[in-house]
Amino acid sequence: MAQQQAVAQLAHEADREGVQDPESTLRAVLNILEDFNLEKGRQEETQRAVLNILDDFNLEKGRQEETQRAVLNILDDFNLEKGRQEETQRAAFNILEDFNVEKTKVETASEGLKKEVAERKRAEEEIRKRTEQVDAANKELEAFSYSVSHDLRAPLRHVNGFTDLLQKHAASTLDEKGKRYLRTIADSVKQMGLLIDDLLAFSKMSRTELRFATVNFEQLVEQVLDELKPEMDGRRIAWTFGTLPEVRGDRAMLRQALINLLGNAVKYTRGREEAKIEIGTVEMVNGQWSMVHESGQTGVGHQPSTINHQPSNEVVIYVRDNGVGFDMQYAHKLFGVFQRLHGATEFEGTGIGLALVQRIIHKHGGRIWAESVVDKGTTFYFSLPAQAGGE
Amino acid sequence: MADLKRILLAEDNPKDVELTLAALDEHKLANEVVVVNDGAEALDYLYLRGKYAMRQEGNPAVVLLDIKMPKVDGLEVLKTIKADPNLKSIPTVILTSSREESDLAKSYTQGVNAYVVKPVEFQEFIKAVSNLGVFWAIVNEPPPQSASKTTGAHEQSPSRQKGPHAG
Repeated sequence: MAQQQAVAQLAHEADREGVQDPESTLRAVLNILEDFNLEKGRQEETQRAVLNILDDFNLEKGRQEETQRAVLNILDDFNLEKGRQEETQRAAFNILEDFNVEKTKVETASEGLKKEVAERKRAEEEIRKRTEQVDAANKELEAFSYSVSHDLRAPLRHVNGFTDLLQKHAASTLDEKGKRYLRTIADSVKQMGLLIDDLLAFSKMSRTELRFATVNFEQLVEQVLDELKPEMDGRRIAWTFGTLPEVRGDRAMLRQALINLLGNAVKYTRGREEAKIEIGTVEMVNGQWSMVHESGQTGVGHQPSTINHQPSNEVVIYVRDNGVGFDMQYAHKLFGVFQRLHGATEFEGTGIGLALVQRIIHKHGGRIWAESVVDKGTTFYFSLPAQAGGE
Repeated sequence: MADLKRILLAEDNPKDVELTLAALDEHKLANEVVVVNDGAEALDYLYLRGKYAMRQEGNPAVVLLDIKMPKVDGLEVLKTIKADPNLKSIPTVILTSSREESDLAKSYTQGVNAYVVKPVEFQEFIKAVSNLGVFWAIVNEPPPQSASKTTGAHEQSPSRQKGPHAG
């Protein structure tokens, strides 16, 4: 409608103005208007296209900005990660450093230990060598004393033999003095024989290995008393027997020890009208030794000064006599080889009996000690491994 | 029968020889004793070799051997005697100073008849030796002498035949 109004207006204006050919002018104007509208339309289209392009451009720009932001975020995250990784790396390096420090410490300590172990091995080797040397020396010594005492027996036998033969042969031609001289020689040789026999027995016993078994001490005492009968001939001896246990030990050696101990008791009570000899067991009760009797009664004995606690796997046996006793100030010599505390004229003997007993008891892992009062009597105590709990 | 009471004594120590003879003399056995001074001589006697080649035949009633002797010791003589079928029945006694268990064991393993340790006490020595002499040379019945001549075991071996053998 507006277009027609416009055209009408234009025709009117044209007429007014005196335009000659108003129709063709109108048609030309209309054509121009059409072209103009066409152009306008094209321009609007172009505008729209441009606006669309602008829109698309803005869209793209927006997307690019988004992408940029995304990239920046990624970069940020990346840096964050990188930072974390660097932290982790530093932490790892710290740990590695600490580790190396510790490793060095351990290596140093290990070096130190190795040195210590080597030292100890050297020391042990040293000890082993020394022990070997000591053992070898001991064996040599024992072999020596054995062979000496063994080799001495032949000439001893000869002296004995020819002295005897001489005594028989020259009996008629010798005066009392001569006969006495010969008797003295014979006695001396006899004494020498006893010494050598004892030394032989002593060194032989030292070389022998113990053979452990259960030993009934009561039976052993009976057997030994039987063997000592000749010594007890014509003597008045009152025997008291306490409880005697079963022990673990070498029967032959224990027999020898008992022979010596009981034999001594018999010998050194010779001066008594009635000898009193006791053998039994003692137990430690409240730090004091007490006799153990079958009836269950206990008497109180003396307490050895160095012992105040009795191990439970041992048994302590005592032998007591009312004989001549000995002076306690010489007690440390009691068990010495060839040591005597009485003169040969008072009591015969070689002084090896107790040394032998001590050797035997020690070989069994036990202890032996004695107490005495001069002219009152003596008590010997010795410990042996108990039977119980052995096997 | 040949001299049944002959005693062969192998002992190197002349003093021990004298004492042993004195002990044997207590029972008048000293005349029957042949004394050799080492193991080699003892074997010579038993095999009728060397200076004993011409001796009267017949095994002694008992051989008394000391252990420690030069050349051939008592245990070796014992071994030889007991390994020889012609000699092994001769009663053999080791008479020695040694009470070593190893000597005892070896002797009995070889089949010794008795092992006597020479007592140091002379009276004991006399008792022991004369007991031995009396027992082996008087009381004991010695083994019968073998039928063939004892000219030495080594010479006999080749002639021995397999199969049951009389005597």
